[in-house]
Amino acid sequence: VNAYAPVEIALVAVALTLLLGVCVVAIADRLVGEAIAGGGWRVREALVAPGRTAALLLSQGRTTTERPDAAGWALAPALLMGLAAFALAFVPLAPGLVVADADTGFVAFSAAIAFVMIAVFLHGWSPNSPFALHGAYRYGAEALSFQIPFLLAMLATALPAESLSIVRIVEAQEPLWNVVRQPLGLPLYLVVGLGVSFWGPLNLPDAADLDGGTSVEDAGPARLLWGAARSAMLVAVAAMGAAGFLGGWYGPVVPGPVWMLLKTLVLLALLVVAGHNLARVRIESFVIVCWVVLIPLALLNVFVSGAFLL
Amino acid sequence: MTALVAPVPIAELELARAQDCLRWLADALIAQGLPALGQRALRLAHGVRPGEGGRIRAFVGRLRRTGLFRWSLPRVGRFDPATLAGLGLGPVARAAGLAEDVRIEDPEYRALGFAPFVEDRNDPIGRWQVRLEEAARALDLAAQAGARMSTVLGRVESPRGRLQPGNSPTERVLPLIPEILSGLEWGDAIATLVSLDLDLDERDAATATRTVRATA
Repeated sequence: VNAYAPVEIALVAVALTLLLGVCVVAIADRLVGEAIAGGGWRVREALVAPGRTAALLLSQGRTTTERPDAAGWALAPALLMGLAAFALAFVPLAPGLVVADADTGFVAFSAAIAFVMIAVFLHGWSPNSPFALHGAYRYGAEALSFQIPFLLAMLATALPAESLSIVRIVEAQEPLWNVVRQPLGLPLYLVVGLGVSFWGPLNLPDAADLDGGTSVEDAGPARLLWGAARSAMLVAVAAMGAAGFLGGWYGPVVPGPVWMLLKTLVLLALLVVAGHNLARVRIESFVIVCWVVLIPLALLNVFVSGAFLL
Repeated sequence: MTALVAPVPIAELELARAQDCLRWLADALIAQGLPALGQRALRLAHGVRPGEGGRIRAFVGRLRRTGLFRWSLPRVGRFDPATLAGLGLGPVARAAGLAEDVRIEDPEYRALGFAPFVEDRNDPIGRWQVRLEEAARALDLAAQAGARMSTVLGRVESPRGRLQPGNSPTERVLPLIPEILSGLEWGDAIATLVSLDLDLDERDAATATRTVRATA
């Protein structure tokens, strides 16, 4: 471990980043959704509507089901939010501006991504409801298929840095960003990143054909927290994408942290726009594409990146 | 329902057909994870006018770019075309290669050069394509029709197929469904059901009409 921020500062920094990120996702999602629906770019409405929805959900009561696992049900959104926070803690905003600059930051981030399956499965299993459980099994069935290319795409970014520290991974991009050095990496990362955060075309566990899937029984604050946790995971994926492929804080004119924020916002916007413009994939087709196309491409990306280092 | 008992302007019938199809499309898009485009379809349903088939075709072009027909809709849920013959199941039958349409019997429609749009995919993709093309053609037909009135009474080609008093297309397709859903993954089964455009209210109304007749 190179440096850890004091606990109080770390908590505030991660909480603020998550809060800001979740608000940005909610506003962008509303803005893009309304524009695609033909209502035009209604910025004011997009700024107000998420707050209105949040207030409405906070004012509603919780629902319950017959013999749920109440503790698991309450824990699942907190676990997903916690995993997003844990993952974000290792992503640097600038040199020295990172909550946890660990030599194994890459491993910690990957572990958080792998544990998302536990949170989603718990969320679907605990209400004791068939659609929710079906959603949980969907994520379980596809998780391995997209987590392998996701982690391989990230692993390739560690090769030029010869380190698993995310700060070193960014520093290794000073002469040339990984998005140029590894042109396959970012597209692969973003496609499977949608799966990790079960968003848009890869929102299979919470899909409309399951009437909301794992969140079908959620109401009130629980629904709000689950939605916020999903957005937080999207923020974590975008932030890591900016650090791992877009050179993190490197950029001209404006200070490094501004560049990092801008790059994260660009990736978030891409993911949100993709969510509204791409139809949900069939789970069977997606799993096949993962094993037949994405994993071989991700391996090729790793081998080519390694070959350039020889 | 008025078209069952009295002549009505073809332009009105066809405009209503296109609007009904777009309302179905809105629900279907939400089910496929595209709620914003579903809202757009609903806006289109409220805003289309006769002669604006091009607007629907442009929207379909946009839908193609979402990957809907490539990776979202399943290639399952096929009926045996022989079991559909003569049932008057509208787009479901026409997507299975059967040119069944009450409008062919109407001399006014024939004078307009009407011919049913037929596909032979016989799966949810085919049913989507038939419905969307029929919606676009309905608006073109509405513009051509002028003041022409429908002449066939007692049955009408509804957006779901041949509709008669006390007999709805949904009622006729329901017994065939278990066979095509057997063994499907849940998402594929839902996509197949959505592609059939079942209207249980229409089915209930038909049942109620039969009950009233029997009681009388």
